[in-house]
Amino acid sequence: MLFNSIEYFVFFPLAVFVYFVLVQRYRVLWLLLCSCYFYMVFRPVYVLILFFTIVVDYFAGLAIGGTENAKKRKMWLVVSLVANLGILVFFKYYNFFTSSINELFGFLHISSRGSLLDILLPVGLSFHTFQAMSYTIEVYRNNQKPEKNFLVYALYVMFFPQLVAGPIERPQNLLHQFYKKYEPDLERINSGMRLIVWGLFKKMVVADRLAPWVNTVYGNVRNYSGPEFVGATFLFAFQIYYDFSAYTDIARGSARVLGFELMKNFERPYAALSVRDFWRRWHISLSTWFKDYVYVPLGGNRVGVFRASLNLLFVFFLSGLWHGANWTYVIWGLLNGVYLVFGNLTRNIRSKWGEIFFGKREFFRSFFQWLTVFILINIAWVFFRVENLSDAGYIFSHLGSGWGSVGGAWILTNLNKLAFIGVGLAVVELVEWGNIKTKILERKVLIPALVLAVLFILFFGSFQNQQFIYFQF
Amino acid sequence: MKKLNLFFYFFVCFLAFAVLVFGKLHFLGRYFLQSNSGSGFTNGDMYDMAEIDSLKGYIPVKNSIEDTKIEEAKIFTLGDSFFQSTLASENFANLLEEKIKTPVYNIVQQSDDYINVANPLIFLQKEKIQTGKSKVLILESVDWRSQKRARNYLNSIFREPKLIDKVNKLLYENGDVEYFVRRNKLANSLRQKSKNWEYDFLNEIDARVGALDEKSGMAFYFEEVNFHKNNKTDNEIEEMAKQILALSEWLEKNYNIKLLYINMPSKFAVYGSVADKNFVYDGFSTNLHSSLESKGVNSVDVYNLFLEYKNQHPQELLYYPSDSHFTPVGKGILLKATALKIQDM
Repeated sequence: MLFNSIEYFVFFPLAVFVYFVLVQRYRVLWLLLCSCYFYMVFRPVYVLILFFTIVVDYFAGLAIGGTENAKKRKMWLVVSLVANLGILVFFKYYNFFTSSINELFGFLHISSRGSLLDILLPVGLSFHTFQAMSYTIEVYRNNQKPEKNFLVYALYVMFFPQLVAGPIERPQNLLHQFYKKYEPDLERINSGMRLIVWGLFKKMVVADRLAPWVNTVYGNVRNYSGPEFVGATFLFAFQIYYDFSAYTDIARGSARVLGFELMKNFERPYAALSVRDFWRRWHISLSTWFKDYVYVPLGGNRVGVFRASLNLLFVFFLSGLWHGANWTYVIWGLLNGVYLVFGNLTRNIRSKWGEIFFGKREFFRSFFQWLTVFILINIAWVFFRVENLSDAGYIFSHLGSGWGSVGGAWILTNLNKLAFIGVGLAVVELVEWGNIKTKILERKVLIPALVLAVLFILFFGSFQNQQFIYFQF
Repeated sequence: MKKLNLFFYFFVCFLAFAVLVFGKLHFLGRYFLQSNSGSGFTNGDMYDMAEIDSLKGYIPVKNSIEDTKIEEAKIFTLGDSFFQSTLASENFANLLEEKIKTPVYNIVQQSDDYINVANPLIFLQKEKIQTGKSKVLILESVDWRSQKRARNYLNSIFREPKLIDKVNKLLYENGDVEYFVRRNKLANSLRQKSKNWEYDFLNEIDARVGALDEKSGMAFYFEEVNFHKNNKTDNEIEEMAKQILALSEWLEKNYNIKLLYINMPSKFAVYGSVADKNFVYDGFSTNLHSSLESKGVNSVDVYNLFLEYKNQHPQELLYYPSDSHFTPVGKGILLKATALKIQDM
């Protein structure tokens, strides 16, 4: 079920109403039923995959927690990881790997070919698989007690607000919340509703209105040239941010209405002054997942510079692969890894140069840093958005073309649209900035502001039921 | 303030419940629905999607009553919305019956899914048609769905929906609830205003409208636009012709039914250049017709007949600007050609 669908506007109030009417002992069961329904609207049969991993991880968790024998604990952890990663690899990467090997064989004139499977990727597979794995890993590390109540554990994996696109929660943050009894506290409900309305505004009024511009250019790159590529990539940077952060806002808002608090996933990423800073602010739940479960166990930055750089590149290679079974995502991930490695290696030199060029003019220095990071991130977004590497090649080789033909006529024709988009971007950025400075979205916003936002969504929102971009991952 | 707040949330829950009940229970919900058309006329399916005031059409709708019994019929017609269309004239089967004075039975939609909507196999399995005297089946498909349908003709199995299908449909297919929310009397006018504002101010139109000529008000469905903007290869057409040939042979062998296949050109095939100056028709319909005739499958080249008529009578429209379907002029051309073809069969 999509958050921006009419189904959700019917489903959510009814789910909340029954939840608060029920006595505490049935609430977990009710939320689990709601979560099953929420997921089954996409494709009923895929709930079986979730059920399989839930059963495996539940018993693996109990087995790990039930023994002190290191070998057994490790064995059960491996069972859980193999089950989760096995499903992820089969559904998400089997065709990718097979077609890549086929292409390689073709290049080497080897006639053998692996056959591709006609399978659909279950919605949000990468998200709930990672959340499930974090449970068994944390139990293995003795940071979390194994969950004995099967329904509570199942709800941890399936909790509908964050089931299909995160935030990827940790068991320490979420599991204990299912045992608390929440009364229908009006202040908390209002706060959750504000987040939901804000998320819908970002998604339906701004992000979905950016989508046609981006899709037109990226859908047929050979018909366009430099100015369109720059414009479409700039808009895509905001489209993907508003789209994904809107999902997180609605997820967090929905959970808050029910009484639960989910982790933050974004912290104004485009205000970052370094790529490292960007990754502290972008998709925080995934970045910290990779940091805690891959980067740090590999040695993190406690090892030598060369090894630490390799670790970083490996983590970003995985992050790229996590996003999608396509070389474009892998290159996007690796490019970000290269930015970070380069940033680490040149930190001292850059700092000295900064002092020489800017001296005490901190504002100019910050502006230069911000602009550099924004451009670098946008270059990487090209790989994220293109459909294949050939399109990326075309874009970069034609970036310099077509600048002479940018005419005032085109701008005049599209003036209204450009103004609308400009105002939309400005409003979102201002509110998000205001939220960090003064927690405006957490405060008691006046009812007229809420009503205005709802009216804006109804009147200016795009009601084409456009999927959230991150659903495909 | 607290009471007002509480009341508001109770109202939201009540509203959600009411929408669910009225959306799912159609006999109740219909009293709250706003129809874009009045009784006896429609504004056109493209207007229904776009809802832009300047696109609004006025098309009278006729009633077509099926009075031919299935066992009396010598000719069956089976097609999609073009054959069911009663815009300003009776449906194709009734007009054909009147023209050739032979009992024609119109087979109404056989399936919920658009690919199988005009699938003879499903009809034959469902109705348990017996082999007897030679009959004719006029099978029609709009061009942009014809490829998928051809692939499916001999691969479909009719089965009565099981309980689990019914439960799944009730629980997980919520198009009716969505329809109720979009089309109820309260939301309808707001939505229409919003769509008109988007069009006037941002020049944006419903994504289902794939192309539009503002001057003539000619709007085109996005699926047909996409279909015609991709050229079809000779191999694809040959493959399609083979699949229809296989169906034709199978019908003849198992049911003693002769097939007459009609590939119906969509509006964009005929009038696409009105909305897109660069559009060049790739000859799909004509090429398919030639391929079918060379294999001995009866077919009517509707596209060329339409083109000829359009060139001779540019003022007479073959399709409605605000609808995807043909006008009585277009239907008349198809009728005449079909009657002639049947005489030859």
